[in-house]
Amino acid sequence: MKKALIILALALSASSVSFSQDKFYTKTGTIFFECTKSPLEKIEGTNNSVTCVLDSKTGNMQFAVLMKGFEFKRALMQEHFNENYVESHKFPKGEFKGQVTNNADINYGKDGEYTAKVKGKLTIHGVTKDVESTGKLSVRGGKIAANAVFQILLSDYDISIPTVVNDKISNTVNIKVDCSLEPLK
Amino acid sequence: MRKKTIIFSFISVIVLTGGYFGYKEYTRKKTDLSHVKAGLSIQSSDLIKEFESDEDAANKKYLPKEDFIIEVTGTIKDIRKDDKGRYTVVLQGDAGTLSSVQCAVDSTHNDAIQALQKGTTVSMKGVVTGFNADELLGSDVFLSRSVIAKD
Repeated sequence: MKKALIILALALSASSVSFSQDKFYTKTGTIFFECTKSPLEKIEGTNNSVTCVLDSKTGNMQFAVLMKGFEFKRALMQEHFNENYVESHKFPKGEFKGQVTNNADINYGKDGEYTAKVKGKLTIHGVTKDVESTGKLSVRGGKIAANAVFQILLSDYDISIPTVVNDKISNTVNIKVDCSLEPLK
Repeated sequence: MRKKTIIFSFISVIVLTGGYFGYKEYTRKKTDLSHVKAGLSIQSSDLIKEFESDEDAANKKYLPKEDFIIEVTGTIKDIRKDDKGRYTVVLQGDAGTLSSVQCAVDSTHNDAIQALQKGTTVSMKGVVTGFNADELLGSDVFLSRSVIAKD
């Protein structure tokens, strides 16, 4: 009887440990983008307050990024980005909701680098589109580094480039995601 | 002839002045907020509640103006430094919740941030970039270009 109780207690504690470590998160992830067309002027911005949650059990992955949090070198560029392009006062948040489709291939309990195929819906400027990308999940000491590089088209998200700056801004945007996820306790 | 010279100098002055101000505007840097007076002072938990109760109204209040600076006072829950040396000061929302105000620090003020200590109260000045609520992670208000507010 005593043995059974001990086993039960051990089983319960083990399950609670695995439950608490299923989810990983950050509120200080980084997203960098650039859509430079002319070598004379770099168009790039960085956001260091990206929220990301990864459920290692289901492979569900979510990102939330506040458009006004993108920082540019020049103040004028930042103002144009917010006011004329992404209209951050109308559409403050960009979101991604998706899944690691090859989640079964990733051993979250073992240190290593794993290729992660991610698929889901990306919402920017009030427009939602399906996106797919291959990234990297690096497991180290109970933490996960999530990295991905992918491209989107501004025209897909109803963001138009005025003809006057057509030679400066590319319709193709290169996006780099860099998040260090910690276990959610 | 004299008339021509006058017109020519006049046009040159206009072009040069225009060019000067155009260039100045084009290369303008973002203002260091430590010298800017905050338009509003608020406790971290009150700011979070404002966004929780009506996110749209709060977005309308805080987001549209680029130069609307606020001062948020709260207990330091964490001071985070990422692998590129960027700091975020996390102010506690209501006790017992994961809710917070995340102040991304103006990197020219990193030295001052290092003197801060967890558990103490601080006032941070910054620009609100928005709000995110999650059933697991709680509610967070985000500030950018943050600096320590000094009286």
